[in-house]
Amino acid sequence: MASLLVNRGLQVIVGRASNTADSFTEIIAGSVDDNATGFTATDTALDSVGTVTNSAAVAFDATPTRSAQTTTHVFTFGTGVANFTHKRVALHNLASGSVTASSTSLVGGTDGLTFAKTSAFVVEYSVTIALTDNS
Amino acid sequence: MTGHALGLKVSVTTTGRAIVANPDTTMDEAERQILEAGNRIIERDDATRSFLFYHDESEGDGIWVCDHCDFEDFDLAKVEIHEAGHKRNEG
Repeated sequence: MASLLVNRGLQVIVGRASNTADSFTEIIAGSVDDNATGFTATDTALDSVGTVTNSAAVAFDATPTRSAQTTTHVFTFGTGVANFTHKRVALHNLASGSVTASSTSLVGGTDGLTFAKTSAFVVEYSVTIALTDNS
Repeated sequence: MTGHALGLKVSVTTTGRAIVANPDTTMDEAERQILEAGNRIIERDDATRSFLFYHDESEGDGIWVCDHCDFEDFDLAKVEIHEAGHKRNEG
């Protein structure tokens, strides 16, 4: 089980901060999928490694918040969507309507979950990114 | 060397919460549905009618026992409720 930013996600963060010529879009969507394979640093899409049978992406509930060096992204799947077993949660720098299993939009996320969602529940995820001194 | 030049740690933390959609569904019934689907519950919150089912951070090393039976694996599985009506006894 791992929670990480992939290399592409780190590039998005430093590229956006310095407004590099890459013109990365900001982190604007969250997803769930049923890929049982863990994230690795070189992943750029949900299906970079392993198989994605089901996936769903949504925009954030509100503009992400920041406290000190931590940003928080909250997104919610309603009763009619994402009704499959959630195994991974991820962030993307692509509009939710364009996020697919193969879209090159992966920033990072958490794998190793197991939650079988049904229409009886709304599911809310909160994903934080924290930068701390490690010297 | 000063500041953060020697190293920067990047951490990602995820929390997952299931909220009961139907206002006519009781929390006990919702709890039963979640557990029957093979899910785990870390925390039940009756006030918000929701169940925390995933959180990255460990709850610590304490050994918890069930208030109904001899189940005592709460610390490893990070669950509060291991089957309907059976929850950890923090006393």
